[in-house]
Amino acid sequence: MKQYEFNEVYEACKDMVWKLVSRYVFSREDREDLFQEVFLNVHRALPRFRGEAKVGTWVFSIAVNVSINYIKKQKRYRWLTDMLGAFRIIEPEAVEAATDVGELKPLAKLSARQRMILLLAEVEEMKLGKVAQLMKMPVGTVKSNLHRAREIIKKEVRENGGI
Amino acid sequence: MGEYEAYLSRLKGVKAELDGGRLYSRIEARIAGQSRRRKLVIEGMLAVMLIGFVLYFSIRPYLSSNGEAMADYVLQQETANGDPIMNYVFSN
Repeated sequence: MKQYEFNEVYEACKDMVWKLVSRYVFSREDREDLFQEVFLNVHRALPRFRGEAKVGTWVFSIAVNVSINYIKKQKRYRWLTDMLGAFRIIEPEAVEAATDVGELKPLAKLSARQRMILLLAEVEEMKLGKVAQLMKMPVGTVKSNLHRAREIIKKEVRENGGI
Repeated sequence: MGEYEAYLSRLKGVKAELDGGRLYSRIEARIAGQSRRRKLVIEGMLAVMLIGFVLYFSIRPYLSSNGEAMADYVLQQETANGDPIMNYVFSN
């Protein structure tokens, strides 16, 4: 079994991870934070990687899970950012920058899972079986989430014109 | 092309510049920070265990659940100093 060095894995997978995170979160800070989180998790898990899957697939599945958790965590603390902005403890512009999703705005209407399913199935054009495997959920659940995500995006695009 | 498909193709076209070298240095710094923190936590736990160990053995005689150790201690004190009640009686 081949032992992987962290920098070797980083070099091989950085572009793929960056592509995923730059469509999943919107501000530069979030993208860089999430990117770092993914590779910190990779570094932590690398000694346990047994090479059962291709290293790229393994890193991608870590990136998917870390991204979903990142958004969930961000939503959990959103009230705190809003409150700090309301009391002007941090600049209202900073709150705006942290919460405004800019060019990818309609995606922000989706839950963390729906957003990831839509990106994997529609943008990365993965088969639903593969998406289900990455998301660790049944194909039926993926289908229903994808359907709901499409409906939400269509409505958003219709009402607000998308990007 | 419908609005939804147009949106998807715009989404596929989203590009952000990756500064791989700078981010790699940051990741390395965070990894170093984490291992430093882990080392500190382990050292802290060992220190607490050591203090607990020393404390436990220094107060152990008073912690006996059946009171034997305490009784031994009182007996020792009495033997060394005489019976405190009798001492009081004789001194007055």
